[in-house]
Amino acid sequence: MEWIRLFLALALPALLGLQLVARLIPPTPARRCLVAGYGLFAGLVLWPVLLRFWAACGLPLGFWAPLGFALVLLGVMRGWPQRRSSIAPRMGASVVVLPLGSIAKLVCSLLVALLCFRLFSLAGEVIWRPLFPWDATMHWATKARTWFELQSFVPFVSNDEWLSLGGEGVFTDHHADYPVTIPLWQYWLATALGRWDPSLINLPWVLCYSSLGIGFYGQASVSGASRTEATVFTFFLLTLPLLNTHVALAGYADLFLAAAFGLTLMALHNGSQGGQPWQWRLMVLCAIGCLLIKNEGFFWMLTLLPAIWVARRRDARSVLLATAAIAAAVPAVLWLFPADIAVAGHSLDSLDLGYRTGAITGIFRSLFVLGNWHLAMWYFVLLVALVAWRRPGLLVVAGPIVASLCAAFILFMFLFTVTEYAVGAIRQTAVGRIGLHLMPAVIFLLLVMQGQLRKIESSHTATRWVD
Amino acid sequence: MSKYLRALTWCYMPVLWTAAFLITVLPTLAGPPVVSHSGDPAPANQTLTVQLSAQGDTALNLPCPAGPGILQLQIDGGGLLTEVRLERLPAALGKKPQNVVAGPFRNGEIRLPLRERQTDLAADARCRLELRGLPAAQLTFTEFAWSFTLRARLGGMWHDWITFRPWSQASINSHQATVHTWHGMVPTVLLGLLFITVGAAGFLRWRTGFLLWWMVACWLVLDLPWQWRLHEQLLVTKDRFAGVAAQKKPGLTNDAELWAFAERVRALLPAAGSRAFVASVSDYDGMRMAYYLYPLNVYWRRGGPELPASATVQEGDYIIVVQPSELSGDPESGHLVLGGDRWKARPLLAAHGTVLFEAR
Repeated sequence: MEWIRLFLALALPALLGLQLVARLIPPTPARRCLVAGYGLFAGLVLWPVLLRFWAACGLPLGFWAPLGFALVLLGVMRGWPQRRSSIAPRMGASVVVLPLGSIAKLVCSLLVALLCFRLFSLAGEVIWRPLFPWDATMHWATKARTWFELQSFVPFVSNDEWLSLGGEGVFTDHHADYPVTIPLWQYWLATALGRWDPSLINLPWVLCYSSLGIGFYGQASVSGASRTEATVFTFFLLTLPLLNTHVALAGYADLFLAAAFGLTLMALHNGSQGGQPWQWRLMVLCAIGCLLIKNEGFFWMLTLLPAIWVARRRDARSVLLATAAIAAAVPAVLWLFPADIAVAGHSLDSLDLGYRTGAITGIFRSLFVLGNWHLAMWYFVLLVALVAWRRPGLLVVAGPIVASLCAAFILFMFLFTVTEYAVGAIRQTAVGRIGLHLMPAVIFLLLVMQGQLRKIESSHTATRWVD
Repeated sequence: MSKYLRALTWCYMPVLWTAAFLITVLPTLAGPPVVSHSGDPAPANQTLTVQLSAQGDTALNLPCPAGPGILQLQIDGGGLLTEVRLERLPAALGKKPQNVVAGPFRNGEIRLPLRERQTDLAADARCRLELRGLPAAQLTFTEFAWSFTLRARLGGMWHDWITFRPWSQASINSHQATVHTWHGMVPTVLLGLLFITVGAAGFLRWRTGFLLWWMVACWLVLDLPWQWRLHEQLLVTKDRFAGVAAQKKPGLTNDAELWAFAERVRALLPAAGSRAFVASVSDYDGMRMAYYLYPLNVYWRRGGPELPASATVQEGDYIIVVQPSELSGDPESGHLVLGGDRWKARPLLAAHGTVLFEAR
């Protein structure tokens, strides 16, 4: 019975997300992967919102009542008409399915088999190991445990506010102001099980990992990558050691934010290339997810502004202009913004601005020397050199994702060199985790760069034949 | 234009190599010259027999280099050893020896890395080799040699790379393929440089098709040891936690004592909603105790002060003091004291230095 309840607790929110995304995406190539990847993720982000709505209406918490609500919503959604594609995708958005060579097929099969084994290794850790990492027990599971035991979403406030209120009707932990998506999932699974299980409450991390991989494969296919390229780069993404660690040692929100930001930028890229409105809707859905997962998500969402501007202009110069503008704007904001106003939980006063020696080395070590990302950043270095040499028109094709990642990287560099968080780069306590938020999008950019280089080779070959 | 860019691409290759060399290899070359050295008391061609004490331990002093190196031991009866430690003399007070290898060593081969001498210590050129194992066991060393060759460094890196290390609190922040620095080799950097050099050359000849498959090959070289490590870890996790009731699992972790105490507190205190203040200098121990106490109305502040002002703690509140803590007790007046502040409290429960007080 326990496993049935657990299955229902995971499956019905996932089905809701799948239904929602299936309504958004019209018949299109790689639709199944897109619906599965984005749908699972939508379920993960939206179910806690529905739980909060349910509680705000004063309706009884528990397991069966919200589950009934989910069933009703599923029924309503089935009656919701499916969208039809009104705009034919532009070049680059069509999927060219080329037959795989026998060696490529063999290698791809091997990679898929290795991914299955990886999923098994990670899922086993999640199922057996109780909550382990630091932050998981400092400010995520604290709320979940309290809400589960009290069956009420009692508010959490800062230490100082708790003292001033005398703890009357409020609780406190180290980050009371963080979004509640993660603890709400842990609460929900504990409620489904009817007991606090410090292992099984982390099963959503396995779902999130799967949704990121499937969504990535779908968007890679839509972007014009061959099946081999899509499989290989999905393998690269899903075998990043730090990403794997965040599944195995579940309990942090960074994996969810990485998935949200990555899926946002993939949809942005393909939306700007193919012109399909549903890609923009997926982008908005995942961008909202960034806000609902962690405070840092707000800053990553801001990086979409230059990207959208670049997507409208569609030229290489605007990418450079946007990047230069961000590079100039960030120090200006740090200089001019009122120091006592907090944005997304941080004020300039609290950041203690000033350059920290050793921070650059720490960032470099995290990206290139430690094993966080295997060889992803080395690949990036080589591809940047080749793109600069071969000029395949990357800034035109991938302008929005390049602009967004450049803006994100500028923020990342400022955060870890001139604020108090530089200690997180020097001691390697935070730079890897924040870098994780950007890595799915970086891997997607690698795929696009590789694809563009391949495309100009094909065109050169074709030109030679014509000549 | 493309000619210049091509030249630029090739120019930055040596720059990358140099940068990687400076970062990874150079710091390790500041030690002794790269020579093989057989240290007393047992030259490579001699044997040495030692007997463990009745407590199962013994120690040898031996000469050692100032720089990093590997002490290679061949030992008969290695299966009787449980642990071998190597540290420089004089041993740094309060510091655990860095080079500890767990036995048994059934094949008789032991490789002990030694770090560079710290300049702030007045170290001499001697090391202490500590052996632990079966009481009164007799062991014979047949090889006793220091090694610094490139092959040894590569071997050291490989050994370091494939050595299983269980999850730690740092695992969530970064992943290190290797943790020792003495060999001066980092697989990610070595493979990265190899990938870029061969990849660039292959791209000129075979274009992107080569690049993709070359990347896959290099990636797998890094990823397969990582997959193996994940699998080994899974087996350890399964052995420890599979089949254990969810409620009992924290009792099998390093937090067992904190969890057990928290369970007793939760059973003792009246009901959910009781205010409980957790006091500790240790962020980790304080944080974990607080977590295990929810849904009590727990107050714990990271980075201190350990307790809020005494005026905010009311009669009927509870204080849990987790060691290490700077709070001290005044038995005569029944107060907890920290600096100039005092909290009137009586102890209700104590175990392993952790004490539950009731504020009065």
